[in-house]
Amino acid sequence: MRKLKNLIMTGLLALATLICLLPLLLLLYYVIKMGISSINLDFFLNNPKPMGEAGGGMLNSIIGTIIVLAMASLIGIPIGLVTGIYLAENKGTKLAEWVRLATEVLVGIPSIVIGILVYGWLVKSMKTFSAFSGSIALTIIMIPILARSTEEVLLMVPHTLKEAAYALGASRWKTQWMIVMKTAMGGIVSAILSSIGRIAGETAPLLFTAFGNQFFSTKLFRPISTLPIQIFTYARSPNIVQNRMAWAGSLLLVGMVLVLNMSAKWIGYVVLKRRNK
Amino acid sequence: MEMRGKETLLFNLNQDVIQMFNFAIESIYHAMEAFLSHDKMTAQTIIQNDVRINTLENKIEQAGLNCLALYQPEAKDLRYVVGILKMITDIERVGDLAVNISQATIDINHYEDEIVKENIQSLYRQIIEMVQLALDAFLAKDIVKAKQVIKVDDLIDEMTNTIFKETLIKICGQNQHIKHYIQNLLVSRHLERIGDHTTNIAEHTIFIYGGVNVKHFHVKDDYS
Amino acid sequence: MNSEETTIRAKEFSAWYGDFKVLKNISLSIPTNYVTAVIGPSGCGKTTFVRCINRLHELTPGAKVTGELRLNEKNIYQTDPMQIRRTIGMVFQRPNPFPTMTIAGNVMAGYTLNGIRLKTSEYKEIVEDSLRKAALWDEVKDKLNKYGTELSGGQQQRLCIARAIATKPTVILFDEPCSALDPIATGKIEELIRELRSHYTIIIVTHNMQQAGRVADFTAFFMMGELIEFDRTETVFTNPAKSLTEDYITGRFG
Repeated sequence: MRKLKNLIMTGLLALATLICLLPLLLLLYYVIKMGISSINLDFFLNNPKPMGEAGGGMLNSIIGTIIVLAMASLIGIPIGLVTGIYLAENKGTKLAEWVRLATEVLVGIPSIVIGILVYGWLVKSMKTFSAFSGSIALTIIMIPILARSTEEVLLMVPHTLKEAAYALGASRWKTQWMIVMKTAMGGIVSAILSSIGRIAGETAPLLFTAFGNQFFSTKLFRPISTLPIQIFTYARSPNIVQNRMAWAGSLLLVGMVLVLNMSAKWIGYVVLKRRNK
Repeated sequence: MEMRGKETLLFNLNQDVIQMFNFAIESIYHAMEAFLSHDKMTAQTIIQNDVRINTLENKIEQAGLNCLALYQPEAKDLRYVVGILKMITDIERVGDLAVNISQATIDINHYEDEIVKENIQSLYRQIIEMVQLALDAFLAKDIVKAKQVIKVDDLIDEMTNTIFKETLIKICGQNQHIKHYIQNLLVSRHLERIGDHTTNIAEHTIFIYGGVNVKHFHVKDDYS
Repeated sequence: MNSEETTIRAKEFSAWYGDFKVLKNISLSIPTNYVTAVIGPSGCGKTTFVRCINRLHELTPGAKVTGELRLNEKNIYQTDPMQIRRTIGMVFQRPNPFPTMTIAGNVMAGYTLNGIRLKTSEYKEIVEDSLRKAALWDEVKDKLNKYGTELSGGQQQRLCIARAIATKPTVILFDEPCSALDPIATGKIEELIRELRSHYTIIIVTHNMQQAGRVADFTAFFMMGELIEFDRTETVFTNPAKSLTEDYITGRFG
């Protein structure tokens, strides 16, 4: 009787898992099916043709995405890491509690609201859309995420390792960098990759800040096109070829996010395995 | 491998017990030689030297106590510590009895009765052999030898009874040298008691190295 | 006992965690080159006392101390804490080798973490010497480049001991070093501690009285933050002066 119950429960759990995975699998299948045909050299090397014209590619958006992500990372990663370190080191203090509250609030704000905010602050005062304001918007999204996961990773470093370092006469600074950070390094790299993956797909904030650009541009203070924006544009286009390119762009974007997240997980796994031999 | 704390303590304990045993044998030897040759000077020395034995008893007792408290010895180590703690009591009594013999030497005068002297001498030789055998048994951890010691006790008792009867006859026969005869009687008693304590020592040895309590039983040839 | 040198001297020393007074006016002299055990029921302050000696106690927020605590007549609390910690080695309850360092790296961590660079020959010499003293050399001499966490629990703890003695301290503190180890590993560590005392002054916190009996020359008994009794171990275990001590030793409480 109990064996039967076990079997039924296991079956139900498997079913539930499958149901959860189903959307992901369907998504992947569909995106691949619809987009794979348009992934070709043209796609990677050409800029978009004007509305109505056939052909073109997504070169400018790909480069734009890279530029915007790179800028966002350049600013966001150091700030996120330092905030995370601060939160982990000063767990009990009032200031740390306020900072943690701030990160929790920020994480909860819809990304479109952040986009509008940056529009109000930067775009209006700079009197132009720009890659820069796009990356600022992404940074604002990235920092609290990275800070929290960094803090989590650092808190997992056993307190007794820090004590051992102090007992040897090491300063707080040396202990933090030579012991704590090194031990947590795998987890931190994981956290960084995850947070990049998170902001890679953000579309709404970029609409109000980077705005998009038909032409190829690498100017930081001018509007720039990014993958999400271009996908949005092409998807609404009456041109079937451009629609298909939207699919290709989606495929590329999904692929990027997938790769980033999987590398994050894989690094975490390798470090854990090596640690617990 | 280096000796750990417990083993060092046990080793030193053993050395001290052997030392105490040797002092006791020496005391019996010198005390009886002095008695038989009326040497009052040596007798006095024996009495003074008894303090060596008593000091060792205290030292061994404290060390044994420490061993129990610090190391919680088990099995053979436990039997060893408990066994020697009891053994040193008997050894110390042997030392005291040698003192008693020495006191008799001092008290007595030069009169000698050949027959009595011979009997006491035989008894003495038997006792010395017995005590030496007991020490050998302990040193060699030899149960068989220890059982032999216990057997000798019956012979000792016989010899002492003979001396008692004969001396009684002598005393009743004449009253001039009564003190002499009584002291001889007492000395024979002391020697007999030495024999009793030596038997105890052998029983402790059997307890330590054979794991059996044979006290207050008549020892047969096996452990049944 | 007054004829022995003392390395660590506490005089009316008290410690707090916030408002809670965890050590109450401790006055104690720890003799040089002997093993002193600190025993007592849970929460009696024995670990706190030892952590005050190398000033780890103050790393807890809200920690405070008053009174005097001297190391070789130098006031511990008026000297740079990092300097103090460099002359005192500590071994913790759970073995804690640094997972990102090799065995050799772990042994030398006291130098690396303090930015001290050594010639290769000196480096090798100290690694071998420390591992030998910790009775670990033969087991790891062929794998000095393996990570510290690849050893067994008992070996890891000996590695931590090697790490503590590599910086040539005068005092080594052990905080219940065997609680996470099996009996055989425990026996090896106890033997090691007995051997080490000829070169170092050793203080060992233990909740295992029998361990104190086996390993320590002197024993201090703490209860509820107070030092109840301090004497040679044989005396404490065979004839303690205070009835509280006797109650604890005979298992009447705690």
